[in-house]
Amino acid sequence: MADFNIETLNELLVQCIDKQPKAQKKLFDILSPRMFAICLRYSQNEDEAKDLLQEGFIKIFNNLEQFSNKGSLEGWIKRIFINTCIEFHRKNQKHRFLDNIENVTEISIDSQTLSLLKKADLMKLVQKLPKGYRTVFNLFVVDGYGHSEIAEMLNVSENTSKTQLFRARQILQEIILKQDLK
Amino acid sequence: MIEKNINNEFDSLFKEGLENNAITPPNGVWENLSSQMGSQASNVTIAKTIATKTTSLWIKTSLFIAVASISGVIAYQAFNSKTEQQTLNSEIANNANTTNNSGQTIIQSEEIESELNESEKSDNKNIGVTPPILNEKSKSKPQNATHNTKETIVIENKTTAKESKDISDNIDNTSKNTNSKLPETQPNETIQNDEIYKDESEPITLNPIKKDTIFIIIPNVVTPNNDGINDVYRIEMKGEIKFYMAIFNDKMERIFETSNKNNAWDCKLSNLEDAPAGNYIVIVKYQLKNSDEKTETTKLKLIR
Repeated sequence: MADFNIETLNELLVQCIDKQPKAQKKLFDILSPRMFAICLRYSQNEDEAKDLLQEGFIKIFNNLEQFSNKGSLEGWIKRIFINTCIEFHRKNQKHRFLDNIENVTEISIDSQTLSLLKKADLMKLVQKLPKGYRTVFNLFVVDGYGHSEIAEMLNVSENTSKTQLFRARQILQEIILKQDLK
Repeated sequence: MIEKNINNEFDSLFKEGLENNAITPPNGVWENLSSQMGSQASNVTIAKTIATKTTSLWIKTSLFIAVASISGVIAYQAFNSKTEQQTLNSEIANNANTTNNSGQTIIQSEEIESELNESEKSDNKNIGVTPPILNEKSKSKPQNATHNTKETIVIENKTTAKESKDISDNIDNTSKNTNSKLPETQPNETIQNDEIYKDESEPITLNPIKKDTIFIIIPNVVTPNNDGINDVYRIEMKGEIKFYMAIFNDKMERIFETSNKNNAWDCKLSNLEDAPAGNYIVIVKYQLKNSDEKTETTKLKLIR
């Protein structure tokens, strides 16, 4: 996105609102790598991510005229994609209910092990999380939403959000330790 | 404090690694996408306002076509079920007419039965009645079975009233003969006839479950094989005030609990490993509208 100048982008948007296939393809080419990465980390595997990517782009092309220039376009599009992912998981809800935090044994991982993790590993790790945990982990850790915002987005309590985040971290650490990446 | 630092370190590792990630999607996604947006893309050269108008026109025409075709299908099916029923009844009549010996009647009534079974299947498809409901009704009045055959056949063959009387007498005889050997199946099928006659007067009115009914269904099997059927364990219910469910394994260790009816068990243990096949115990505490709180224990079979 950064290497695109604003004027050409605006022109492109106008053409996309006009539903010109060439412009749509261009916008897709610009946005899709970043958005696919988002879809991947909110989903279990590539197939699911592909579906989400498609669904998100359809939403964007159909609602582009609603974009007001107040915020950044990328932020708006990103939010649409995140919402698409959340909606998808709400439809196929498999949230597990949690034990209380007190019941869970503490596992902590040393920074040396962490330093051995590669970028590609991170994506795989996140995808291994159960859906509910994955969503909260992504929203909080990667996309920077607060617990109250997450609670509102997912229609759960703030405490649930906190617990799920806690468990998500734990599961990730468990998986990292099990895999023994050294 | 140390723990928090580790958390921060852990979080920032993931944030940095994932936030601005870019991964080119595999080929074919755009092709799929553009084909899904096909109808809109075809209106490219037309000005935007006209484009929206035409799309709404499209929607209207397609809606009209859809409605027309649906009503056509319904009418066709209703006609079909009628004619099928008529041919069937005449078949019954023929079969019954030729029966005098008890030995033959058994074979022939079995034939009728199989034919009826076939028609039952097709009729169920046409009318949309679920089999369990019919079974319930047929169980409730098995004694009237022979009477019903008489009635239905008389109604059907109005033009040949005398003949049909003979036929129904014959059928009475055959059913007396066969009753000892085919005590339940014969009545069921005849009731089936009766049901369909009711349908002719008011077609497609049998709704198995009303939308506003209060119910609870506690399944006793779950098959997590990703075929889309019973892959997760969930209680189906409507009109509840309270709900709580817990699942225990055979060592009575609690492996799942929830107080939200929409939460399903994905057949995984708390360490995320797949729960092994076998027996589990489900305890459901619930209260439905206008009734007391209940606790039900069900044996759940997990099949992989």
